[in-house]
Amino acid sequence: MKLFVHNFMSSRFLKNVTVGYPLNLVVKQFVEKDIEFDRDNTIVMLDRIQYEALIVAAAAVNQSDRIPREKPEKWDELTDEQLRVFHHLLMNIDVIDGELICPETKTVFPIRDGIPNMLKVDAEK
Amino acid sequence: MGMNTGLVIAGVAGATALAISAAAIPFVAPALRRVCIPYVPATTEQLANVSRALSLATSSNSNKKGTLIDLGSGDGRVVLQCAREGFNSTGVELNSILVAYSKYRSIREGLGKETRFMRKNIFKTDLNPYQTAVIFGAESLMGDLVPKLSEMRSNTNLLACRFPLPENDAWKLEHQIGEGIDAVWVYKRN
Repeated sequence: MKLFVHNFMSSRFLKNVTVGYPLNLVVKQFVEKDIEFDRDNTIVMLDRIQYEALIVAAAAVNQSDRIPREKPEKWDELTDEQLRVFHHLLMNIDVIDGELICPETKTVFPIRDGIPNMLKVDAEK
Repeated sequence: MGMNTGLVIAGVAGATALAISAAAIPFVAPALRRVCIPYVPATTEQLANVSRALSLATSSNSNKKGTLIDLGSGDGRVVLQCAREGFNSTGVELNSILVAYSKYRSIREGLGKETRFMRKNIFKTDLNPYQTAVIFGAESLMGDLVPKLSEMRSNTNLLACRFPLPENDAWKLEHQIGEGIDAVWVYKRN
């Protein structure tokens, strides 16, 4: 599961959950891949993300110190070097084993072999 | 003076509430949809079952290398695989991050011409032009989809992954491949 996926996942589909976002992320194992950097695509992705959730994801892989605490005002004003850090976080980090946890109900969704299983609690919906 | 202060406080409170509401829209929006389903990417096993299902569904007619639509295409993995197998493949997905990623991935994998990704609600997508549809649904979604899928023409194919369609007169079950969460049901439109 690439880290950008965490950015839009919520447990809103569960019973009695109001927002269910962002999910808490526990990373037990991840791999770092080398997907080619593309400036334009990185900006397109960053335009769409919720920055607060990205900070949560970065912290889960011990890389929150690599990105600013405050969301940059204009992504296209960042240098390639700065954007590469975000590209690395969003695209190159693949969570293989871990958990996504609903912030409201504490329901645990396992991540196995890189696939987050959100259907585990389908019966609770 | 007290009245003015009260109005200012009320105004500030109202503006703050509005700002908070606006900020919450991306997270609360799914709750306003008719069906709220979680994103679960297809496993390697599921993709293999989709491949087998496609070859079964299209072996008896000329649909091979025809038009295919993936309803709720996620990160594009099913669309890309179908394109590699000769289908002119379209993915429909509501999540703009996933649409952006799918487009990027299709170009990176040299499949930009064989694939198309649209940010669109599956219930507002015209299914009539397609010869094959693929849906990785949730149980709650499948019943709602039956009337929508009736837009597809006679003799077209449907691959329902993870959950089957409820019994209906429009679609005839032809094959089931795999079991459990990796299962694929192959239907033919009557």
